[in-house]
Amino acid sequence: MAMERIGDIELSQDLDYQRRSWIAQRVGWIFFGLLMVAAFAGFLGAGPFSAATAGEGTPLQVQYGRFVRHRAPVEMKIAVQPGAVQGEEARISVNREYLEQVEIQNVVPEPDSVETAGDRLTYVFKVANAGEVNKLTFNFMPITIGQHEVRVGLEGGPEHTFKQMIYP
Amino acid sequence: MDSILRGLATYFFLLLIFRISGKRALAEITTFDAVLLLIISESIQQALIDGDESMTNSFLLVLTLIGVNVLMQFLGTRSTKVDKFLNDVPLLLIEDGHIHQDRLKRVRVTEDDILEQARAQFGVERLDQIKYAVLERSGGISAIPKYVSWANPEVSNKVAESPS
Repeated sequence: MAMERIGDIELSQDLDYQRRSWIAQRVGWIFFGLLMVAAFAGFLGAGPFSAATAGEGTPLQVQYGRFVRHRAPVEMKIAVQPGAVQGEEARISVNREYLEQVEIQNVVPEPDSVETAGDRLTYVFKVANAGEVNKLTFNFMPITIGQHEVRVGLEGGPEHTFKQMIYP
Repeated sequence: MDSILRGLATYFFLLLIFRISGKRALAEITTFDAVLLLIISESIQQALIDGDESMTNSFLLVLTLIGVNVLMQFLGTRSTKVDKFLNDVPLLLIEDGHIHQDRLKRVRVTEDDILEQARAQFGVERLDQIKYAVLERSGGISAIPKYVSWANPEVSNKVAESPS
């Protein structure tokens, strides 16, 4: 590095560079500050902007996270509204493409059976009382990164499509 | 390949964050800084190994981190720009007895910090005895007092003239 003589001292001081690096530092602080705000808001994981519900007001409601993280537990809560199920079974389908991006940790309550049909898996749950809200929880662990389309449907009812972003 | 990419991402993220924090971020490690450093390493470890606890993975990560560091150092010796980006530049805080208050504020150094270093290095008693104080690239402070013979020709002449 070029040495400069300043008074009696030889030093590779570079005030121009120093000033530029201070500006860069400021910009960096602002950027990381915004990142923290975004994280608090839920743009980088759990938080108010991440929590979403698909199909509000329909017989099938799905609570999910818009932004989730790689290898961090993710919950998907499904509520089947009263009267949406005919008979004793609730048949919930999830697209296979999404299920390949996550590891299923567990499903509460445990499904009676799982059926494969084309591009989706159908989870069959026993329903004791179709006249009340039946809640189900899927616990996932994302194993890939990127944005994925999730399709959750109720047989004989609606199907909801939404996107989920998995951060590295 | 995953391990290498994770190692590279971690290296450049840490490089960036420490460069943005400024030279003084961890220059003098207090007890709390040491604890902070441990927590940082613990938090980054998870992302680094990503559940793969094999020896191959850890060896590859070490190889990547050391390798990229050596490469950056090599590039630093070839290019001034890279060297400045990696190591920053030194800055005069006291220039010929004049204290640059604006610079002190910018780099989060106090007059006490300078005096502390000067006391430790040369047994300096007062700020006005310091001719130069430099914030080094490492983040440490070097102080050169006025009475050191090479810093002040008048003193060195007097020393030479004085009868032994």
